[in-house]
Amino acid sequence: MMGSSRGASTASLWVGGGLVGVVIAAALVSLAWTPHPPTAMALSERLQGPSAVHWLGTDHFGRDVATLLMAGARTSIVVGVIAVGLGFVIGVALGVLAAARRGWLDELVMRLCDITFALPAVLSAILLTAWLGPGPATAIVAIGVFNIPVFARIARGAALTIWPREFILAARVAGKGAFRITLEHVLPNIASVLLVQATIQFAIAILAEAALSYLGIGTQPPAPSWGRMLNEAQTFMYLAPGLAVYPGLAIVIAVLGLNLLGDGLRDALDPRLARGR
Amino acid sequence: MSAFLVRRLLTLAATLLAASLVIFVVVEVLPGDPARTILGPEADPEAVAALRVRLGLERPPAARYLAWVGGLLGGEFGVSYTYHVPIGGLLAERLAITLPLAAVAMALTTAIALSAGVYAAARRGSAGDVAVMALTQLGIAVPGFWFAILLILLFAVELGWFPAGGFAGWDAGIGAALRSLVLPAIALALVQAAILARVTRSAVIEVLDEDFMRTARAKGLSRRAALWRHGLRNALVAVVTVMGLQFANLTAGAVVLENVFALPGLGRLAFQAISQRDLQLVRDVVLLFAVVVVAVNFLVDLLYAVIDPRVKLSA
Amino acid sequence: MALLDVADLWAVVEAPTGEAPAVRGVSFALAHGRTLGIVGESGCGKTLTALAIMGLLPRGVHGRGRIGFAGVDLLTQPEDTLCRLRGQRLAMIFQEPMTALNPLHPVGRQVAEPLRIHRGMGQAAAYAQALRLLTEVGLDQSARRMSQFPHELSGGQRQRVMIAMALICGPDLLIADEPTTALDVTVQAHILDLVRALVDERGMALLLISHDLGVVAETVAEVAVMYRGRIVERGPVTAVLGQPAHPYTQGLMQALPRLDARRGERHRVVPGAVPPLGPPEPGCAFAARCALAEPACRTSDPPMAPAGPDHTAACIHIAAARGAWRP
Ligand SMILES: Nc1ncnc2c1ncn2[C@@H]1O[C@H](COP(=O)(O)OP(=O)(O)OP(=O)(O)O)[C@@H](O)[C@H]1O
Ligand code: SF4
Ligand SMILES: [Mg+2]
Repeated sequence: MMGSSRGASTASLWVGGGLVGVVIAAALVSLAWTPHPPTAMALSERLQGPSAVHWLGTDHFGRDVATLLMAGARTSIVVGVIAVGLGFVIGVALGVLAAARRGWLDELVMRLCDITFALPAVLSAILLTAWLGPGPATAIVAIGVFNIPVFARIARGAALTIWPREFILAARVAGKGAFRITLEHVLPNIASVLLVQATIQFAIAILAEAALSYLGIGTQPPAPSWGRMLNEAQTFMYLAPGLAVYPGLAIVIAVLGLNLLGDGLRDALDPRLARGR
Repeated sequence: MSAFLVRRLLTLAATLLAASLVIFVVVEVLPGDPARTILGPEADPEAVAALRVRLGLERPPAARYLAWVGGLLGGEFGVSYTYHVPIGGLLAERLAITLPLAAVAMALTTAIALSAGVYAAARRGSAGDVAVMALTQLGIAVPGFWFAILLILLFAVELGWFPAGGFAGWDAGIGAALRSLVLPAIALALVQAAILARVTRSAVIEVLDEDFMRTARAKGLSRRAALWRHGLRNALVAVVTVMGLQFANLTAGAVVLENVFALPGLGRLAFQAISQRDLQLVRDVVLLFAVVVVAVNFLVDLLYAVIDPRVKLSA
Repeated sequence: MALLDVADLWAVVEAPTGEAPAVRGVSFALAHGRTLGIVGESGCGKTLTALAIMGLLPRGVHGRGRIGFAGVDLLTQPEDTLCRLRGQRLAMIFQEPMTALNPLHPVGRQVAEPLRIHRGMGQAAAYAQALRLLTEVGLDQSARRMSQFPHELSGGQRQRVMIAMALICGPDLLIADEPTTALDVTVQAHILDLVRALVDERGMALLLISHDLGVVAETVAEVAVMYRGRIVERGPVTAVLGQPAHPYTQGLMQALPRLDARRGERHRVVPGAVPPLGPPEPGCAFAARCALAEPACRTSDPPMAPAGPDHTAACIHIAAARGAWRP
C-alpha cells in the first residue's frame, strides 16, 4: 500500500512535469518559430483538414491550427503566471499578516475572503469587463483577484501552525519582531504548501482564462487563445468538428499536467500533506 | 437548535448585507449612465439630465443604496432599462431555467460522485480505484464548456438526440423542456462530480480507519454492512460541506454553459445585462446569485446539523 | 478441551522494506470461564494478538498459525463464518471509548445492534434488552441515555456502553484491550470490578490486555508476559508476579508505578527501549536490554522452561536470573 502510493506520486510528478514541459516548450518555441506565421490568413485554404502542410488543418480564416495552438500556449502561460503571481503576492502577504497579528485584522481579512467567495467568480469577471473593457488585462485582474482569498487562507492556516513552534518562541525571546520572524521563519516553512497551491491555482487560472476568452471577455483577436479558438470553432462545428477538439485537448494537457505536478510535489515535499486529498 | 438557527440566520443576513454593499459600490463605479442607456447615444443632454432626476440618480449614493435595498425588501425590483419590463418577473422567468438546471446538475454530480467515490474507497489500491482516480483527475482538467461542445458534437450534431442549444420553454411540455437541459446539466456536472468523487473517496477512506468502524466489525457486521450502516453517514459530513461550496461553482459554471447552449437563464441574463450596461438589472441579478449561494450554504449548515448531532453543541 | 487454543500465532506487518513480524509464535490456551491477562510494554504486539483472534487485523498485517476456537481454526474460516462468531460468541472491548463508538448513532441503538444482526430481533425487543443490560452494567439514568449520543456521555459511561454492547449476545469469550487505560483512576476501579463481576456471573472466558500489572493482578487468574511479539513468561498471576522468573518480567515489576506517580505518565523503567519492528533475528529478543545476557543468549532462542508449578519462562538461566534480581 505504502509502496504503491509512493510510486503513484512519483509517477504524478514525472507525467505532470512532462505534460507541463511540453506546453512550456511549445510556448517558448513559438517565440522563435511556428509552422506558419501566426496571423497569416489564406481564405482560399479555410477550414481544411489535417495535411502535411497544415498538421492540424486550418481555421475559418485559413490560419494554421497547430501554429495557433503553440501561440495560444503563450497567452495561457502569460495570463496564468501574472494572475496567480498577483494573487499569490497579495494573498500571502495578507495571510501571514493575519496570522502574525491575529485579532480584528485577522477577523477582517477572513471575512473579506468569505465575501469574495460568495460571489460567483465568473460574474465578478464579467462585472470587471464592464469596467475595464474586455482584454487580457481584465482576465488577469479578474483571475488574480480570485486568487487573493485562496492564498490568504492557505498562508494564514499554514502560518498559524508555525507560530506556536519552539523555534519561533526562541526567535521572539531573542527579541525579533513579528515582521522579521515572518520573513525568516514563517515564510520558509510554509513555502512548500504555497508552491503546491500555486501549481494548482495555475491550472485553475488556465481554465478560467479559456472560459473568459470563450465568452469574449479575455484575450481579444487577433491574439491567439485557446478559449477564443473554441468560441470560433463552435460556429463552424458542423463544417469542421476537428477545430472544436484540438484547443480543448491543449487545455486538458496543460491543466492535467499542472494538477499532476501539484499532487506529485505535495507528496514529494511533505509526505504528511499527502493524506486526505 | 433554535439558538443555532438564529445564529445561522444572523450570519446569513450579515453576509447578504455585505454582498449588497459590495455589489452596489462595484456597480456605482462602473462607467455608463442609465439615462443615456435608456434614451440612446443621440439623445438631447437636457432630456438625459431630466431623466436622471426622475430616476433618482442625482440623489446621494447612501440614499440610493437604501432605496435599492428597501425596494428589494418590499418586493420592488424596479424596471429593466433595456428590456423595459419589471425586473421581478424577468428574474423569475430566468430562474425557472437556471434553478432546474443547477438542481439536475447537482443531483447528477451527487449520484456519480458518491457511487464512484465509495466504490474507489472500498477497493482502495485496486485497479478499479486507480481507474476511478485517473478518470477524476481527467475530469477536473476538462473545461466544462469544451466538454459541452463535445457533447453537442456527439449528441446533437452526430446523433441528433438532443437539441444543440436554446430552450424549448416550459410551455412546450416538461419533456421537451427537460430535453434541452440534459446536455447542459451533464456538462455542468462533470467537473463537480470529479471533484466530489475525490472528496468522497478520501472521506470514506478516513472513516474506514476510524475506531468505531472496527467496533462495528467486532459486532459481526460484514465489511460492506459496516460501511453502509456506520461509515457512509460519517463520511457524508465532509461530503456535504464540499457540496455546499460546489454549488457556488455550479452557478458560476451555469453562466458559461448557458452561453454555450444559448439558454435564456439567469447567467445569460447577467452576461447580457452587463454587456448592455443595464445597471439596475446587473445589481439585482448579481445579488440574486449571491442570495442563492448563501441560501444554499445555509441549507447545507442545517443539513450538517441533521447529520451530525455534535454540531448543535459546538455552533 | 480449551475454548481458545492459540498455537504458534504470527502477525506479520507488510512494510515497504519487506515483512516484519510483530507477533512471533505466540501460543496459549484459555478454557471456558477462565481468565488470562496479557501484559507487556507498548508495541509488544498485545493488540495485534487480540485483533488476530477477532479476525480484524488491520490492512497490511497478516496472521499465520492456528487460532482454535471451540474446535475450529479461526484463521481458515471464511469471512461470513467469522461475522457470525463476532459479536455473538467472540466479543471485544476497545481502549478508547470516545472513538470506538459511532458519534452519529444514539447509544441505545448501538448497544441493541448485535441483537438485531445476530438474532434478527425487532427494534422494540432489542431496545428493551439493551436497556436492561445498560442498567445492569450500572449506567445511571439508562432509560434516558438510550437516546443520547456518545459525546453526551462521560468516558466511564461510554465504557459501560461498550461493555454492554460486547456482552449483549452473551459471548463465550470477551477480549478487553486496555479497557481502563483512558479512564480516571477511580472510574478504572469501578469498570474493572464490573468486568470481573460480569465474567464471574456469566462464566465467560476473559482475555484482558494491559500494560498495567496492577490491573492484571486484580482481575485475572493467569498471566502471560509478552516482549517483542513473544510470550516470555506465563503462569498463575501469583507465581508470575510474585516470583518473576524472566529478567524482563522482573524489570516490569520494578517499574510498577509508585502510588504518587502522576496519572498518564508512561513509565519506561526497564532500561532501554523496545527496539523497532524489523526482520527476526536469532537469539533471545530481550538480549539487547538484559543485564544477564551472555553470548549463548544471542545464538539460539531460549525455549519455554519450567519455573514452578504451571509456571514457565523463556530464559536460559531462570535460576540465575532469580538470584541476580532478588534483593
Ligand atoms: N496497522 C498496522 N500497520 C503496521 N504496523 C502495525 C499496525 N498495528 C500495529 N503495528 C505494529 O505492530 C507492533 C505491535 O503493535 P500492537 O498494537 O499490537 O502493540 P501493543 O502491545 O498493543 O501496544 P500498546 O500498548 O501501545 O497498545 C507495533 O510495533 C506496531 O507499530
Ligand atoms: S535468555 Fe539471556 S538475554 Fe534472554 S532474558 Fe535470559 S538471560 Fe537475558
Ligand atoms: Mg494496544
